[in-house]
Amino acid sequence: MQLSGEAKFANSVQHIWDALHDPEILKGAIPGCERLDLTGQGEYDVVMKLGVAAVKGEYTGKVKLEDVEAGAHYMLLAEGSGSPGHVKAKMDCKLLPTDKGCTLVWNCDAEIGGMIASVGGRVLGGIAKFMAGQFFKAIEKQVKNGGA
Amino acid sequence: MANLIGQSFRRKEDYRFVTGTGQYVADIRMDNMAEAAFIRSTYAHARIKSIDRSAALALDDVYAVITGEDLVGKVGLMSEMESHCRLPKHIEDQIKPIMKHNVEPVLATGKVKYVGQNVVCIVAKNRYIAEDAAALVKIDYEPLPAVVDPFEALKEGAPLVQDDLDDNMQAYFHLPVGSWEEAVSKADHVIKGRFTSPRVGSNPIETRGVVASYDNRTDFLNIWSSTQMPFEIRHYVAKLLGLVEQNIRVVAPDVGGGFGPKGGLYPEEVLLAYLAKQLKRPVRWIEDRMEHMSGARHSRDQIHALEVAYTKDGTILGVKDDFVLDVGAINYFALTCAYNSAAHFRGAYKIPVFDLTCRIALTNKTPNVPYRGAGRPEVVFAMDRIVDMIARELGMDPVEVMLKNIIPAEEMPYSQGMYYKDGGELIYDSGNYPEAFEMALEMSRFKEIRANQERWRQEGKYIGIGFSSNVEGTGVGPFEGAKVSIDPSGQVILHVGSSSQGQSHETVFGQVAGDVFGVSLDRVTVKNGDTVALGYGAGTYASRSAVNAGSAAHLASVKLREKMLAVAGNVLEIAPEELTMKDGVIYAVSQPEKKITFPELAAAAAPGMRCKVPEGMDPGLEATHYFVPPTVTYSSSVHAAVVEVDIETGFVKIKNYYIVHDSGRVINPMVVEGQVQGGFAQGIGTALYEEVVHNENGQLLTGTYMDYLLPTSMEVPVAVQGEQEYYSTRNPLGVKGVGESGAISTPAAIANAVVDALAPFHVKIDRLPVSPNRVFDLLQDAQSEEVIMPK
Repeated sequence: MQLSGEAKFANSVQHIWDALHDPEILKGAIPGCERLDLTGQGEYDVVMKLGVAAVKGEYTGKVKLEDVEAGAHYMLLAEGSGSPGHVKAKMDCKLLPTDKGCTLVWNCDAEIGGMIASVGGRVLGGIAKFMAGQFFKAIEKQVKNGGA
Repeated sequence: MANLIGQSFRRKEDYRFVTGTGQYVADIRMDNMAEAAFIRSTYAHARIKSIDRSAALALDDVYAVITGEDLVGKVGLMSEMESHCRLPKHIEDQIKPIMKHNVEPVLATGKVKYVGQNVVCIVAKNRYIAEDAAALVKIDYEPLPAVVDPFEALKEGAPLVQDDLDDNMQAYFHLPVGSWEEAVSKADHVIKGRFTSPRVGSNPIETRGVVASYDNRTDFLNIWSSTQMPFEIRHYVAKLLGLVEQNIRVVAPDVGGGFGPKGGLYPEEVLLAYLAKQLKRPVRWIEDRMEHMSGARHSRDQIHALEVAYTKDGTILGVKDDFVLDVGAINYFALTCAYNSAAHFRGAYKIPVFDLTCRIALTNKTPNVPYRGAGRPEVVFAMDRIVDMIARELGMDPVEVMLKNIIPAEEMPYSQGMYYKDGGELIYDSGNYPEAFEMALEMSRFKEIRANQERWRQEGKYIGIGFSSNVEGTGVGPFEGAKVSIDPSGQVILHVGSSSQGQSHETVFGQVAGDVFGVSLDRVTVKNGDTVALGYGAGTYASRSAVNAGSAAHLASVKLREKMLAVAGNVLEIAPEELTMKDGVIYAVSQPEKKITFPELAAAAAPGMRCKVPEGMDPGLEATHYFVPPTVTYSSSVHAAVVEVDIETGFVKIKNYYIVHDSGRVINPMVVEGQVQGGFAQGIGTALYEEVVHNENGQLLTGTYMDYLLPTSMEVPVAVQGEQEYYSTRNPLGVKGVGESGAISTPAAIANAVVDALAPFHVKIDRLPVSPNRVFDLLQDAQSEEVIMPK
């Protein structure tokens, strides 16, 4: 499944870049995030409680940030599974400066399985974009509150 | 003698069905009953690295959390249904089949092979707790590359679905009838086509379900299952658990539809029996609809690459087909569907040369099993579509080409030059196909439609008419049994081995037996779906019950009637030949005052000092008969579909539909009509709506009825039916099967009607379902072709 989108921020590229690499901020921004533990350089163990369409459940997995170009371009690799199924996603994130701050452009390639695919597949695209929107809004809010 | 046969009696079972007093598996309640839930694979192909069940086991009121590894050495592996897989030697000599043994554990061990496969079973106080516990089990999978496309699966080096096999070609055969080269050399043209019937599900209104209980005192297992084959379930549960068959009773109570996929053994039946014994308490599992979509078996999924040699007047000289059947992760039914496809390919057409090659491919998908029609709708679609294409190539009316190739009535009985899968020569026993076709033309007002089509098109209405015919081998053996007795009350009690999933057994077999005893329908009680009643039974599938159980009921009743007359003769001191029976009284034809009632006769025949049974006969009024058909009987039908296509939206509306069918002698016309209409409804689903879709990773994308479209009553018009009644020569009643008839030709007739409606656009339909987006795409392609290469 291919998804893409962008988020506009009123903060500088560096501000947002730092926020996106800060475990505390990520924990507060990732929808349904119950736990986020740093396990290595840019690597986290994550526990999320999510409801996707009719499929609700707890997912445990790993998130890894790979910087392609510091301050501008990184890859987010996420893998998780729970009783309703599993997700494996590769998200390409680019931060571009704008007049008012910056824009994050993302492209995501996700593989889903189990009930998430068979029940939620049709509405998943919309829900994923909605959750991405929530995530970036929460980042912005925390940045504004001086979280980073 | 036939007072009841031939009459449209209201169904005896309907009162309880319409008043909500039927008893389905889910209605069964027992003290101390636990409930099971299953964790099913979310991967199409993956290695199971570990299963952590500690948190689930720690939950209160969880009684067991079972994995496949727990069952190794305790529960046998499921594999081919032997009684459906054996081929007679002479067929093996003709088709030289390859059939590889394949297996599935009741819970996955080592690796999972399809999304929906059972991996863990949880038993708890109730389903809520079981589901909560299921959410706490952590399964670590290592994904393996999944084989989803059957052609990719057959390639050398493809990942193996069944690890013990060398490749994914589970079965193969080649059937040559006549010389294809010779047919080609005589032909003016050879046309090619590739026809796809996708994977579909049967979607009974009642999902699957099992209740099992174990009685410690008698070491006896009771199993209730919404199955089509209680006797087979008993056999395989005994075999896989190492038990004595007669210490198991399998009951199929009221069952809300089966259609094929409820025939055969499922993991849940074996596992619940095992757990009831282990846990010493009844265990219940009712499949939910989401489980059903991936865990209950699918069907069809055939791709035919067809060549047809024909002359310029439209005479077909030969057919060559190379087809692939995608059987999913395991083949339980060997060549059942594939050989059915071969045996029904030419249907009502006289085609002397036939050359067919079949490959059955294993893929990482839910197993594929027979479903109403079982290999027939796929080939009737391919054949009648290509006949339609030939006609349009030649500038002839499709009806003309169909009629030119249909088997003339005077050539009956007609031999297709091959064997049926039961080993009998494939010879149509009776029927008149041209007459059926003419009836369909008349009923559908074909000429009137042809005369008006052009005018309607000018008004923007694209209306078309399409035809399809089929001949169906029905009433396949191996046998079916009936045991009939006279109760002390005088009631006739009839047990039949085939169970009902809605086919009206209690009414129809009552009519058969009632006629032999000269009693009304209310004096016959029919019992079915219970393995304690008879020693042997086969089941209800393959349009076989009226033929097999009906004939067994008739012949057992005839045996008992003779005995009753003999006993009555002994009591009344009159020669049995002078006696007859009516309304529960046996009397002398010449002196009606000399009589004895059924209750009196039952008492007279009871064992003891006063037993009046003649010397040499056993006491009691009871007779059993197992009917073994010589081979199948051949039902036939011609379908005519009139559709209107909206060329803006691609939407197909069925305006009128006609079915002329011959199911031999009709026991209950209303029941036959209902069977044909029901088959037609499922045929509409196949024709226009249904498709099980997996993505490239083998993930099921059609897991709900939002994505898997079924026709509702809104989309199913009443098919106008015409009847022929050519008695079968192969059973004492003259009946033929009718259960699948309605489903077989519907997709082909509707597809042909759509092509006809869109004749100005020259579209070719070679794939089902004929969904609005497919029609829309065909129209887009046709229009763009028109621009490049105007016709």
